[in-house]
Amino acid sequence: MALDPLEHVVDHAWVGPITKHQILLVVAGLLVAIPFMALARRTRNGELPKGPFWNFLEMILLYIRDEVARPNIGEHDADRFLPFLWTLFLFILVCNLLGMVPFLGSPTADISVTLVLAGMVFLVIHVAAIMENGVGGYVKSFIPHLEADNLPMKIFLTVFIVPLISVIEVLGALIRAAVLAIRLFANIFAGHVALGVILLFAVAARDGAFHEFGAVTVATVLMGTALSVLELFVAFLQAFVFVLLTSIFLGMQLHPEH
Amino acid sequence: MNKPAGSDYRALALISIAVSEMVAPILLGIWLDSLFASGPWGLVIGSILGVVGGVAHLILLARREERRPPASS
Repeated sequence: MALDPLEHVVDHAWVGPITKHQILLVVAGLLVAIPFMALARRTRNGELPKGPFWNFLEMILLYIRDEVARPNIGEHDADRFLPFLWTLFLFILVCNLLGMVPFLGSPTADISVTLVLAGMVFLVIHVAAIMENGVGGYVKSFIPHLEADNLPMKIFLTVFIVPLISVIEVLGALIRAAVLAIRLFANIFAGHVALGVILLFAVAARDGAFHEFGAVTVATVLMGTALSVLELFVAFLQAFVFVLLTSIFLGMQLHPEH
Repeated sequence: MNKPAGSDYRALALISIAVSEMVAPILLGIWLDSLFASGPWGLVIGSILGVVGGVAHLILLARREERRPPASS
């Protein structure tokens, strides 16, 4: 067994040229699509879902709608974006949770996956803002309207501060998407590397005396279990944070104020 | 004053935006300096953009947030 934890986290070819994360992305897509399509079919006629499993799925969707989308995007617009936000949350959650299954891994521990997710969020936010406010309104949303009491201050604001804030606003739109990707990747990747390091202590101690190996293994199992519980929490938290920030950025871009 | 649902989350998101908007231009300036050997101008411009622009944008974000109507849920 390789003693380098990165070898267990970084993507590699699994079936021929197809990599582990590519296969797990498809698995995550299917794990989201199958139960939720079944739930959609059950509620198609306006009937309430019955049974603990279906109620659990419904509870997740209602939480995202009532606590994340509607407060941040607004009652009027939120429902239009709910299919996107639900898909995003569930897909990221399942991708994160796949890393908790032995011998599998989290596709979200791969920066290319999180960059694509953040890129899609960026496109949805800005295309929706252009469709909502028009090209003129969209461009104007990057130019702040600042008021001043006297003429010198007005000139100072118009010549120096307004262009500076406009550049920061444009940069900020790109930074927000980049930060979304980096936050998700860093949290999942770092968690798995930390778990790998701890578990590999036992492997590293296998050639030592029996009492040393035993003590290290017990400590490794205890710490690994504790960190796995934390990782389980982080899997949910990071999926939630990604969708929450998407909703907040969407709301800010759809309803710019000056 | 009753806080709207999710306003704490929103405030945390705004803080993360403000911090990243202050830091990112500085890092971008350093990166451009290393790429084009233009130091210290990338760092200087990045620092001005990050610190002055970032703080000005933070004030603007805070003022917009003050005027924002409370969420209904």
